[in-house]
Amino acid sequence: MSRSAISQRVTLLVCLLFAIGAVRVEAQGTLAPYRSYYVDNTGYRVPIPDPYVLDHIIEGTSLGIGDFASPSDILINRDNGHLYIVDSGNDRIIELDAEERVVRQFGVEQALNEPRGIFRDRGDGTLWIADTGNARILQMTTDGELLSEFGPPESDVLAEIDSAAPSKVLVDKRGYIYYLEQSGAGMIVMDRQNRFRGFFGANRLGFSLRWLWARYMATEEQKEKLLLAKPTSHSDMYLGDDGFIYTAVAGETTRQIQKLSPVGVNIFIEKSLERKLYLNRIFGEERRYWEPPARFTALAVDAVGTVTAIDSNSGRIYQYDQDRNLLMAFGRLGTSRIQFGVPTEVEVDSRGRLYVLDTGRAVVHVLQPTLFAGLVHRASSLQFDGHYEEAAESWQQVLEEASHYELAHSGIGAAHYHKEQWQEAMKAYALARDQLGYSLAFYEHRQGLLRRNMGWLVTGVFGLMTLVIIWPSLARLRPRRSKRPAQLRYGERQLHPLLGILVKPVQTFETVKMGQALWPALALVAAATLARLLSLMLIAFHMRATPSAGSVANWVRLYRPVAAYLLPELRWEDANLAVEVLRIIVPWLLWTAANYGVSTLFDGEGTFRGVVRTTAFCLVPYIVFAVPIALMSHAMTAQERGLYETLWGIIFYWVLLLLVLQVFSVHNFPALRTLGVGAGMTFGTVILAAAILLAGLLGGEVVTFLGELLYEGILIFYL
Amino acid sequence: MRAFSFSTCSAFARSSRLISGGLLLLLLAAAGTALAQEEEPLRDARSVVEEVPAGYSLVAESNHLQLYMELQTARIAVRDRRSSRVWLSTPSATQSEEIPDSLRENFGSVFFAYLTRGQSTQARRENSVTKVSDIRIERTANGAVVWYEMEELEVSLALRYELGPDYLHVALDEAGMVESDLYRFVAVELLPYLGSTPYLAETAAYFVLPDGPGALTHVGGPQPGTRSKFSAAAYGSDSYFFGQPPEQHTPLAAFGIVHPAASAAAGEGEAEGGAVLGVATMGAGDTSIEANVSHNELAFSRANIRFVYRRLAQFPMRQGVFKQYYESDSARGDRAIRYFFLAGEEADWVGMAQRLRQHLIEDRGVRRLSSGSDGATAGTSRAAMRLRLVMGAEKPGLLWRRFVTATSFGEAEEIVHAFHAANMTELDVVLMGWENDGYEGSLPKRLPPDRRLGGTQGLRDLVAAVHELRNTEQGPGARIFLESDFTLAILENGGFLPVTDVVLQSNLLPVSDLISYGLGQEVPRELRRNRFFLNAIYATERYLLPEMPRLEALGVDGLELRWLGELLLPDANPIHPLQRSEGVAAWRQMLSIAADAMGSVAAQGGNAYVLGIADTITQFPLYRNNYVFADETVPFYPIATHGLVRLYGEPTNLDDDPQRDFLRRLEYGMLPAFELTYREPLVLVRTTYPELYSSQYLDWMERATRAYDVAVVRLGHTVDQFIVGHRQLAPQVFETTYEDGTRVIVNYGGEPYTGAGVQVEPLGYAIASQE
Repeated sequence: MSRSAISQRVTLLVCLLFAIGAVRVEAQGTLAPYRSYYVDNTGYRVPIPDPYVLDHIIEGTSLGIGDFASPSDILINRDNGHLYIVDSGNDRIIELDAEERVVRQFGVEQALNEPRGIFRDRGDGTLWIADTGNARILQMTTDGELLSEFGPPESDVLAEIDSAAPSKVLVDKRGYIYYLEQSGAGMIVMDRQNRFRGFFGANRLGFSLRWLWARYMATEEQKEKLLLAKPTSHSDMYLGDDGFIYTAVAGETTRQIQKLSPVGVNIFIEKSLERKLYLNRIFGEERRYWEPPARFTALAVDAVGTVTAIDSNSGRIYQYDQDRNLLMAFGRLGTSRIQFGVPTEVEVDSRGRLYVLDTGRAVVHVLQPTLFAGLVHRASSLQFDGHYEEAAESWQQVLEEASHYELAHSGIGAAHYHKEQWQEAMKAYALARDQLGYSLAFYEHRQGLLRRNMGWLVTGVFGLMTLVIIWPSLARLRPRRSKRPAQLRYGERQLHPLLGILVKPVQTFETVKMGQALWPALALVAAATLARLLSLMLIAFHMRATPSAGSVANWVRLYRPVAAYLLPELRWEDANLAVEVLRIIVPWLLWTAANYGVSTLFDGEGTFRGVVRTTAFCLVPYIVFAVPIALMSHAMTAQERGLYETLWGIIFYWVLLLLVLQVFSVHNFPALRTLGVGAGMTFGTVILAAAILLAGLLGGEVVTFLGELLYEGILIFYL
Repeated sequence: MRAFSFSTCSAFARSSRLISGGLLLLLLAAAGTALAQEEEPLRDARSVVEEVPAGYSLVAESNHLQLYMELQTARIAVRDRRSSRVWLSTPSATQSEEIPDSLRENFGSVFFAYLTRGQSTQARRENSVTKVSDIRIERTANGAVVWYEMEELEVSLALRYELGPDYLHVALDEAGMVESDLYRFVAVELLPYLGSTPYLAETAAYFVLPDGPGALTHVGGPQPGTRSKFSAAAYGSDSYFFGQPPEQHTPLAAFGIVHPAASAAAGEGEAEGGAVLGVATMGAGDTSIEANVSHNELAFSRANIRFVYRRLAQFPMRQGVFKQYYESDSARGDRAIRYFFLAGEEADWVGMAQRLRQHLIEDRGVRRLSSGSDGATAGTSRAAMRLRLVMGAEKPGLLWRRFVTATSFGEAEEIVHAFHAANMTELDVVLMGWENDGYEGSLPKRLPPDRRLGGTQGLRDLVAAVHELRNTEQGPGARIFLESDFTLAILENGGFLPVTDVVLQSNLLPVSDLISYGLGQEVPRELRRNRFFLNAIYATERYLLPEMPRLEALGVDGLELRWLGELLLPDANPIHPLQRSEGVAAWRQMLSIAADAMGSVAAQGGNAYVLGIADTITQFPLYRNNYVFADETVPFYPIATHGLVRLYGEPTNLDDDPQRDFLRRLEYGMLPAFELTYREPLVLVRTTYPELYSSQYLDWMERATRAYDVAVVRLGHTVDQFIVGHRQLAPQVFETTYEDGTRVIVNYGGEPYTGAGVQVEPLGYAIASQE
């Protein structure tokens, strides 16, 4: 054998071993392959031109005022372009003018002690400073003259909080003072009389069994220890020009960026239609990439409402439009261009430049938007303001810079939609893979079609009904022709078992269990697998989703867990042929084995062949209806998703019902016994599955071991 | 021959026997605090010395230099006869008795040796004084050899000095390095304080670092607290993780220190400018460029080349558990640095780049691009726009991998014709992803050209069509190249053994995607392929050589090889082990094979070892990598190589900042490249080549015409010329001058510039010829 032939074989072997994980090495965290990207509607990162370039870096030494020390906040006065840097470690606040010359430094006069936050009231132009070390909030004129001083308000609620040190502060249009408690206790509102006015926009605590157990079962002492779970606190807040308070919430996996109305309600949440399509939008990105979820620690909002947020885990900056769409993600940790040490705060000036405060390096990075970012911002704000036409023009330019920027296609789709050009809109939305937009446009398109063809439809339905009514009499006229001799036990007519199983299952099982040939069973399983693949392929793109069983509430709606397990609705891109096939074959195999095994123990009458044949016939409803339902999805919209899922649910429960009937009729068990044995079979299936899983795991270990042995062997041979 | 020897037995040396490197540092810090209370004993802002201190004797002499040595300690001084500037291995003000011994011994050191013991992650730094028990100096014809012995550590090493006309050659021969079972060398730095600058020196001195095109760090005055250290392996990092974009572009094992002529106002009188350029001439692959700035009185701002002998590696203990320690095998071979001394007008980074070019030509045999029209070479030494056409790639499908065509061979012909029709005749067409199954599709194999693109015949037709566009009167016209990868191999495709045929880390585990998938990996599962790097010698013997005749038969004008100019990995392969320095030779051999067979070869990435073989460098970065340590990006590398090689940057359609990048390419003398497709790059999403976002060729015709008109039509004649000058005319306005007097002035600023006989609009450029 030639060396290459040996090499091919060994390669295949080693390939197999590797695939199972023969050699594992801890690697250092790897970094994004793209410098800048956005996340498309299927969750993949797609590269875009760099939206920002580094203009320059501001650092203390070259300003002639010494290095900054742990600077923790920055502020841009958008009226005159002045930049304020809260230089916490040096207990000072530095004001730079638009040319970045030092105007003044505050701190000594006001006896600041580790200030951490600054805010400018756009109404009266005063500066507010969270003087964290002194546990107070100061109001100053821009010249540094102290106007008033606020301490943490007196309140029983606040008394439980150990520390009282405001780290971020803002003042809304009504004059209420909001501050973030450094210890993470939440966002506290007080009035100018230093009175506590409550917590604002508090996050809800998720449901957990542990909590439930503790709530009802634990002793007081245990509760003391256990009930420490607190809602996650806001990590940053920003008063938008629209009067809404935007906050970042680190440590959550969804809703990490919030836009709070004056009463504290987050309006940055999914709309009901989005929920229907399972478009649970999370900030940061989907878990398609093996990264910890984004941990947003800072954000800024520009004049049109574009949100720029920093993920402290990756050092990346994410930018969202007013409608929560991810516009772009860029930057990361490192020393190169648009790479940060420890980015902690971000600001945006009136020219759209971003200022990123890098506490780790004690500098401010000034980033200049590129042509691409400018176009995207322009287009998205035009679209948000309802100027769809102009927005579409800008989106067209965006496409010249980045031809697969899906939001641009969506924007063009929106323009068509508002011009009531439904089909063009659908085309653009399809390009954008925007399921929701497509669904809405399709709804309108379908309405139009229905309206236009109402006559035909009514005629058709009427004709169909007539046909149904007169069919029996027509059938009687036809000469009866029978292929097989009448040897029926039940019923008058011999139905083909495939049809019979749908109409008269019990009788059909009786016939089927008598047969000897196994090929129909195998053919049926193959057909079910094929039906699965076909339906997977045929589902309309706008109805695809990845349903999840989700919360407990979803389990009450029976179709939801069904959707989560069985339905071929996963995204096309996620489809894995082997898994899809196994989803049909493995349960069938397990059930058949458990069925035969358990029934033998309980003196069932079914033969092995009978069991195999009948269980295969249980799949018939799926085989028959999966493809039609998949095709039906093309005529449905997101609003009808409930109906759509119910259809799948019906098939699923139909198959389940057949399985029960099958036990009943094949083994001739009495009704009650059927239930008992059925439960036994279910249990058996589970046990079998567990056993196979275990064997697989152990086998994997053995293969891993052999793989390592082989690897070492080859090395030793050559070394 | 005379030999001197003496023994150190200071009390400090004896007492510090048990003190590890870490403790030593602690001591230093303690000493520092003690010192800070005294009256700035070290604060000597003078960085210019004009007298050789007493006690040094002349060892060698050349045209421009004199080498002095202090015969007891073997400290050296180099006197530049042109400027009478004296370069000391030991900063002058550091030998005062007030300084604690430990510090003084460090400052007085002519080398730092980093030693490790056993299986350790620690390395202790030894200077040439404290532990040295014996120094032996032997005079040679034009220099000296100095042996250092550290009896206690059972190690010794020898430095060989040789004085050239304007350089000092310092060699660290393998034969002279003795290590014991006790201590082994991890790294050695030579002449650490040569050209260094004391704390807060009022100086305009700066470091030149080979970061991307080149970077400058100004060392005078107070330094930002967060700026501390520059450390970059020459020719790129030696650890590679898939999915990580190549960040570290260190194309050279060189550094420079420039002390510009001091103005009279600084109170230093008539000090002339001086500069030193250090270039690793042997063992360049196993070096790292180190630079530090001083933040206190106990440190100097210094830059240096460090020779690396052993690297830290993760060694498997048992499943999933690793222990980190220095590898036991040492990098082999001799090491040498050549320090070029520059004086007067030349003593700046531009002069340094020119001296480097001279060194490349004289000592490394790099030849100038031939300017004439003598047949074969003419095509590759002319200015041409590089048109990279992305052909095909694969993406996952439900049942099997799907092939996606971005540009077929026929469509490529259409694109080339369109460019030709738009008067862009000087084209280097480069096909990417033309291989069987497209980009990275069937690596390590690549032939035949994919049938879905048109197959072998389609490619032949395309080649013929491109060659037809050759216009013999005006120039060589269009040429066509194939880009390919002889380095990566994908496990699923077979054809290699992922144990003996691939690059192994020193723990004998392969460098692979598969392995880095353990933790945070940003390639989604469904897009992953198990990629390995082939051992360079295996790849040459198994794939490059056998395939060469078939590639030649396709009729193309040359090859472009991926990875070769940007990646250099140490390879513990059991059959063909390759140290990084040996890897350089292997890469050069691959380039030569391709160049000999096809007449032309281009390398991606610009590592200096490709010079002399590759006529073209592509994908060279426009920007430096380090924005913390370095202050500005300068065209150091482009100046050193312009006229020797054609330099192309990243494709223009992938520019970050189109306007400025366009100017920057002009300033740096780089030629334009585009990476285009016939279809929208949308089709390439989720394929093996998903990097494009705007590449449809019609979108770029206009901008390509503009780039072509400037770089090829107006500046094409400079392609084989050297850059002889580069200066800043005004803030954000720069001028590049070529040999024939052609000047290119670019204005990055927002203000129009008028001067030097030209007017330059904001974000504009001007080209002036010397009439």
